[in-house]
Amino acid sequence: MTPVVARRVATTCWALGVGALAFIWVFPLLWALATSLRPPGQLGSEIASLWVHHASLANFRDAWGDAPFLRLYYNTAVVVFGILAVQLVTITLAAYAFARLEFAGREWLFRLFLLQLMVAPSSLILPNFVTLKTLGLLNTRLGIMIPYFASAFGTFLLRQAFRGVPRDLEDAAAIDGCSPLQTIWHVFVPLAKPTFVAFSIVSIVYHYNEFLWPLIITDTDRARTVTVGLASFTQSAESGAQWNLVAAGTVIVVLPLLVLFILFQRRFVESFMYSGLKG
Amino acid sequence: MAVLRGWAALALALIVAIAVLPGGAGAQATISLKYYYPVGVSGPLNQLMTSMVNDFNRSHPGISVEPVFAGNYVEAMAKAMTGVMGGNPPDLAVLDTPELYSLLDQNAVIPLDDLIAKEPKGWLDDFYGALLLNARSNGHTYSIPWQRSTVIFFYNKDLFREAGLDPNAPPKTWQELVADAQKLTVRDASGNVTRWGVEAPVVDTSPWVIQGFFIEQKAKYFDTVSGKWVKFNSPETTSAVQFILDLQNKYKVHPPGPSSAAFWAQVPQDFIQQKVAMIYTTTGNMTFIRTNAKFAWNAAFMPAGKQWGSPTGGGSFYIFNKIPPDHVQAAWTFIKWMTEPPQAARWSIGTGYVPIRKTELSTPAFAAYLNQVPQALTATLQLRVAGEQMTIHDVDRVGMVLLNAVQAAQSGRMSAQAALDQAQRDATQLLAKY
Repeated sequence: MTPVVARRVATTCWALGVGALAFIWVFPLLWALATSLRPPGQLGSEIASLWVHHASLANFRDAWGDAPFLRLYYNTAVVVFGILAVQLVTITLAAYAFARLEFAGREWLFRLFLLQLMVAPSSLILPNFVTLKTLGLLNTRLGIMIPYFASAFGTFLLRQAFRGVPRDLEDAAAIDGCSPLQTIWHVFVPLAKPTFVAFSIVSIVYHYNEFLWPLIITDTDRARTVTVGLASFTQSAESGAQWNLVAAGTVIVVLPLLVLFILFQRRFVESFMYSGLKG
Repeated sequence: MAVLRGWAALALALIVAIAVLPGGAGAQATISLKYYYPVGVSGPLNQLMTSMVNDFNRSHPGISVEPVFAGNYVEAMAKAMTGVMGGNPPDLAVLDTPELYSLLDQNAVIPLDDLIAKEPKGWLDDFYGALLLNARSNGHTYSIPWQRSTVIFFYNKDLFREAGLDPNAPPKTWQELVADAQKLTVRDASGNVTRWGVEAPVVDTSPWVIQGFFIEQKAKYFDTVSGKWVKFNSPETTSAVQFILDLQNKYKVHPPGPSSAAFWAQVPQDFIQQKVAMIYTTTGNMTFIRTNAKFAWNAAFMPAGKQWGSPTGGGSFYIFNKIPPDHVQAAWTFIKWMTEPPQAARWSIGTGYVPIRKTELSTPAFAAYLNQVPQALTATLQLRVAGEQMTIHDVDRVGMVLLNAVQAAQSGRMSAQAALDQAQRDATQLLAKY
């Protein structure tokens, strides 16, 4: 084999391998899409197939009709981006304090802060519920958001990034007359961009998927999120699951997130390559 | 400033006037009820529930019920209990019936005896007795049946014919079940099974179907009066578990290995794909089977052990504690209306749950439904021989103990006796504090 042929074979093998992995990754999505397009009730032995004989939008009609999805999308968007907006401010300031400010008990306070990561969120539902009741925020979007305004995970991630910022840059900013806030804005934030992107993705996905907390503290569709709408017709403990309908609901719910990812895919990937953070 | 003060004075005067006004038309405010409901079956049930509640609100001007979807049974229970402990309980809720003692341990619900006593004599007797068994504790009734199910037996008539069996004679006893299953199990040349005789998902996320086998062996496996003890390792329960093991390992007519939630979901799929000839599952699957089976099928009672039997399942109406008396009365009005035969029939037909009361069968809607799906009657008839689903203190954790024991026996790690002895020890420990 000439080197050229050998290289071509290697490339082909590589492409095939990567393609197979990609297919495994994308299969659940393809399956959900195929299943959602089958007419209601048509399932039988074709359940594992990706081929659709008589495509129909009837499942989407049923799923769409069972919950006010437009309203729920809007609520989810407000909750997810509202949380993120506040978190970006709080974690930046907290991370700067833990990374750069000298004060008594800093290390201990930071460890205490990290303890938040070890507490299972579901164990906080009752205390948070009582607090929100006192504040009169039950059944509101703000109520869903408030417990997440501070993020130990984000603070930790960002503190590590800020610690990597060279002192010299900070000193230069100080010589130029920057206040601490200006230093954060002009020096730390631009340098930690990949970390911000990584954290934003984690935060958005987590709060987009969140179910039990919004379910418990909200009662009406005025404040509820898409995951709660999805759950209303996908239960199957006392019956067989109507997979076509479940798949249609799943497609409705994941679609916005998917579109968002495809639109910003290049930027996500770039930022991960810079940050060296994978997976 | 003077103008502002004038407005304030006027407002104050108005408030005082409204407050002291004797009960005129304006003072008879609408009573708003918060009603939590879980969804246990797939399909667009939000719409059905909301439209039923709207019908109620339209026909009852003094009451306004707000229906709140609360997730599945586990989530609905978490939501209700968070509300109770946080001082913000719903007025009424549909919850999994066996949660009775968990609710009582938190002082969350009220007994309904006084409300029932005011109804015409025999009102409660119209409900199927089996569905009321686990509504009661220490002589009090705490819930009214709503979306209830039971374990039922489906079989493939075409495969019966093919195997030389009478398609109109489903197995009536465990012995007949074994004999039929042996004829219905198909193996290829190398001895691999291509079609199983029978599938019984004895445990899923809770030990449900297995309780049918316990009841059929006349096992007294829990305290039906006050929910304080269990008896998992009696000869009766052990023989029931051993029968399942025999189907799997001795007769080899049932897939081997432990039963699970995945197996529970797999069983109806296997049935419509004719990978199995006879199955145990919930009545809630009848619609799925009816729309997907491309063969003749029928429903039957669970084949009998020492007696007929089947456990009930599903949710019932509870009224919460610490709500105003007029809310209790309004909640009761709502429950009574929802369980009236026409409404109950509408829910049964729309969801696949069993009829909850006898007069429901004679409603025109249900009669028409039975014409279309005669098999639905079998589930109703079986209610006459159904037993009580295990309803005890700490029912979720004690249920998990039993579930683990059955799985341990099925996986061959322990004998049926050893596994159930272990379960008995663990359960006794959990129940010691009650």
